[in-house]
Amino acid sequence: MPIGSWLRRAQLAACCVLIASGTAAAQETVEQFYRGKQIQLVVGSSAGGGYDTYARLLARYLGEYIPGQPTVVVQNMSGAGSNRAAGYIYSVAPKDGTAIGAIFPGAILQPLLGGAPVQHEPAKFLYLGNANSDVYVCFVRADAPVKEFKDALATELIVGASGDGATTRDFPVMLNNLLGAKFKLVMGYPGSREINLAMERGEVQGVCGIGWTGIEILYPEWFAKGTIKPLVQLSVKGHRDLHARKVPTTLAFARNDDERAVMELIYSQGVFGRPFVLPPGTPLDRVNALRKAFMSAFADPRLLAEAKKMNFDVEPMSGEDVQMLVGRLYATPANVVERAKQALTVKPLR
Amino acid sequence: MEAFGAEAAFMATAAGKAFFTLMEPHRLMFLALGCMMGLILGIVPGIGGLTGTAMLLPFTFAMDPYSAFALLLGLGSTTSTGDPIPAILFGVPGGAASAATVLDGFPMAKRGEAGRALSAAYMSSLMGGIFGAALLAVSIPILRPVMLYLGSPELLAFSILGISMVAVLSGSAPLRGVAAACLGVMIAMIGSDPQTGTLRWTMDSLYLWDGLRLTPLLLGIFALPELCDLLIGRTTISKVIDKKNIYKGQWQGVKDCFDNWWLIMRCSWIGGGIGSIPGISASVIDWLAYGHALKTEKGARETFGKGDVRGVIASESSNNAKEGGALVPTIAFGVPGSATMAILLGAFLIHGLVPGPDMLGKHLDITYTMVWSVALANILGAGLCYAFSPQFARLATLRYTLILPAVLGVVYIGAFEANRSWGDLIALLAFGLLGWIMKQNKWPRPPLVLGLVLGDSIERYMFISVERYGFTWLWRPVVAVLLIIAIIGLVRPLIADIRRQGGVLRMAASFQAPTFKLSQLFTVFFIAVIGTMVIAALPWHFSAKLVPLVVGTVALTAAGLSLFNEMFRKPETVPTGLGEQAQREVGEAIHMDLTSDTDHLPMRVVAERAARFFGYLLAFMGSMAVIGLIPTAAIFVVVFMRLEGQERWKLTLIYAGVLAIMIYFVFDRFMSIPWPPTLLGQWFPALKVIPSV
Repeated sequence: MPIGSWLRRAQLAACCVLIASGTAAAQETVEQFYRGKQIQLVVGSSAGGGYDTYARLLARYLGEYIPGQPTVVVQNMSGAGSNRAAGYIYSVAPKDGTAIGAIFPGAILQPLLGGAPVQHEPAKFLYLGNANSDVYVCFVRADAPVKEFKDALATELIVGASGDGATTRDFPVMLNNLLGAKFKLVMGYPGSREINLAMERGEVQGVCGIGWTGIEILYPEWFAKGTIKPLVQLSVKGHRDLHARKVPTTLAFARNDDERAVMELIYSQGVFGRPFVLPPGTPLDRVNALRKAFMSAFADPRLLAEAKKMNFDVEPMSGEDVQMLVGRLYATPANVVERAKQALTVKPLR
Repeated sequence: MEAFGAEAAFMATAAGKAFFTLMEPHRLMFLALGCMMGLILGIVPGIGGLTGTAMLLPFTFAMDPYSAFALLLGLGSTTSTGDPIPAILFGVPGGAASAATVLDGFPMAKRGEAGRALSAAYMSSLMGGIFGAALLAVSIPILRPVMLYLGSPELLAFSILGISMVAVLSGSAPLRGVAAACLGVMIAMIGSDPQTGTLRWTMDSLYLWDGLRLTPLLLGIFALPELCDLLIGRTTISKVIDKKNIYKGQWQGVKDCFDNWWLIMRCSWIGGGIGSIPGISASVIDWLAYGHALKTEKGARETFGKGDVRGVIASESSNNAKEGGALVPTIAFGVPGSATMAILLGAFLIHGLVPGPDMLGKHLDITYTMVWSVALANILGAGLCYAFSPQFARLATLRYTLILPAVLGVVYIGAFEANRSWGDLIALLAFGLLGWIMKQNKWPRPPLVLGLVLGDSIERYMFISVERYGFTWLWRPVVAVLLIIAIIGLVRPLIADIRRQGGVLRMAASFQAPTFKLSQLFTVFFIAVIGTMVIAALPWHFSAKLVPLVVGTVALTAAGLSLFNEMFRKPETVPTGLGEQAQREVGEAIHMDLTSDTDHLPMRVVAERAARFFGYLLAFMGSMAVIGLIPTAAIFVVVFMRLEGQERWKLTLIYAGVLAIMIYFVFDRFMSIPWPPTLLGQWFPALKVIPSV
């Protein structure tokens, strides 16, 4: 038999299988679908990082709460600040409910504010949920000339920062542009741990844009000896611990609604700190089942006990809520988006 | 003095207590278990150990901290123990830190001394690991103050000192060495720039955003050229087959290590010291130690790169000490010195430990358990490999048709493990071709790697230092001393080279009308590539293009001069007297890289077989796009063994089956790699039941 006709026959057979499975899909329940299946949870960072550890924590419990008890397997796909994994989930991964992505908040916000080319549209993802939110903070050394945030509006403060797109770079630049703060950025540190070390040894006087979660546990001596202090909260709502310490939020320094809107937009990445997404086109009944399972898994006492051991904050937000939030972000009026883009641009020194 | 005594007594108590805690049988068992897993995962080049550690982490939640760290460190310290095996036997670096081992280990294997090389590698690993741990153990009290003293300017100075090794590692081709190092730096600049976020040379691909990963590059530059030459030569790696010889070699390797104990000590301290500096990549430690040995060991300039056992010893004793060193910043500051250490940091918190001063005071005994765990893991891992090294050594005597399929398969997957993307394989192939041409044309490859690894940190810390301190950082004492050593290291070989050629005047007098050779085409191509990159960089933001333009100009100058030399310099005159000849031989620096041993074959055959080799690689990738990696690996084995060697069907099929099943279990089941989608899977989704389709 010529190969061509053989191929055609095989294709025909495959088509039949497809049609058969298609009709089956129409009738089968969520439970029937997931029984014996495997869900891939694609993490946008390499193994071992914070995002990966959260995802693995979820993966250990999520399957139990999905009808049909599928197994959940973590796969790491690092690259381009998780934009690669986001692109994979958006267009390549199966759209039948067997693929979940764990991506960085930057992959959701940057397409709106940054100019970099990405292969996904964040507003079109189906959001599974969000594991926790964080409040970003500015810290200063006690011996720095800046003691309170309002001093930073008049006195220069040397702050360490990592690269483009990192909160440690974006937040102080925005405060300089928006409120006229006098942060002098020293850029190029590999990550926040390295900046904190540089601050401890006095190479920089402070840092702006470090998450509050876990800081008290990781750096107890800052607080015991008062060597390094929180200066201001970079958040809309703020954190209760920081409110108790009477650390102000920058929102109080906004002079008009415009400035407030820009801050809210840029700080929103703290609200959905660890988002989980599904490919657009995933069947709705499975999306709902997965969203329910997500919330139940994060209420499991065993998961919470493990999280506590690792000093992880768990503050789940439902998929519906994240979906609404992202929808709202992408509906931000064009003039505010434009203003925010300008606020994130480093201006030449006057 | 009394305070010092009390301090020493406190340390000794903690160290002793830690030792006996670790000696509990169940903890030793966990340590051994970790070692076994590390050795197995370490077979694949790249980051196998990282995934392993991340997957093990949840199992340590319920353990006591001593056992948990014994398990994790056992695994983390042994993943690179297996690296010298492929490095010595096939010229394929099993990990980033074993690349320098290839330079002398592989020629030794070719000479039939694989057993000696392997045994020297393991004995020096073992001793290096112990010396490194000893250094760590005694320096614990001064760790924090020293680390707090090392700021970004010091890190910059260390990186510059590292890159000044280019002068030594370029051997007889200093201009080409500089050009290659500059190319390395420019490759390191690919991706999002840390200052302005400019996407440098990314060609609109997401893969290049974070820059190229080291593993596919190293495998391309060092592994593929050796495998290609193996196919061109169509022989076994080692022509000498003598069973007794292997055991004798094993004993000889041990003796070599004891004879060179002082070299091992120095190299292990280089490894431990540099491994402990946060922010400097540990991937060049082997080259730094190798360069150090080359500079300081007697007669090294004549024999290194040609199978000198001291080259193997220097490289291997340094890289095993680095994992102990990487513990330092993790313990003292919570800044992980390596990727595995980042996971260890997670384990710290789970067990209620906080990196920082407490680890060197209140929890000193736990810190010491970690030090001992690393030391013991080294002894166990290296000891096991040492015991089996005669068996491994025999692999070098196998036919190339038996070796190539498996090694190529592992190289492919190792490269693919880096980012799990097509980009990894394209990078592997591109740099394989580059590496092979460089090797054929006697361009030294080590400087390229040095530039590649250190380029990024030099740019990073230069901007931080200048932005923070202006130019006053140059006067910081440590910086000044390091920079002076670097300058001496760079200038001295240059002056010696000019003097050897009879001064500038005589050099200028030795020009002639231009001559043309085929090998000059590569230099022209090199200049064209760098030129294109420089032109593409011109429109960038000032801080984004500063370093690329400076480095690019240096590269163009060096390559231009090299081309000029090749075309216009008269070949050196034949010396007359015997004395003069001897003088020349001593004065002549060696070519600091492996040379191709395919010279006996006519140019046409070499080109044809090389094209065939890279054709296989292309076919492999094409087939992978259509039917997926696992079926491709099996088919490749069959096609290669039947076409190249006419091996028996039975052997071929068993080989193919075993390889495919192994890849399936390790990568599909255990590590659950997300395979890229295949055409077959798109045409017939029902076939997706086949793994990796």
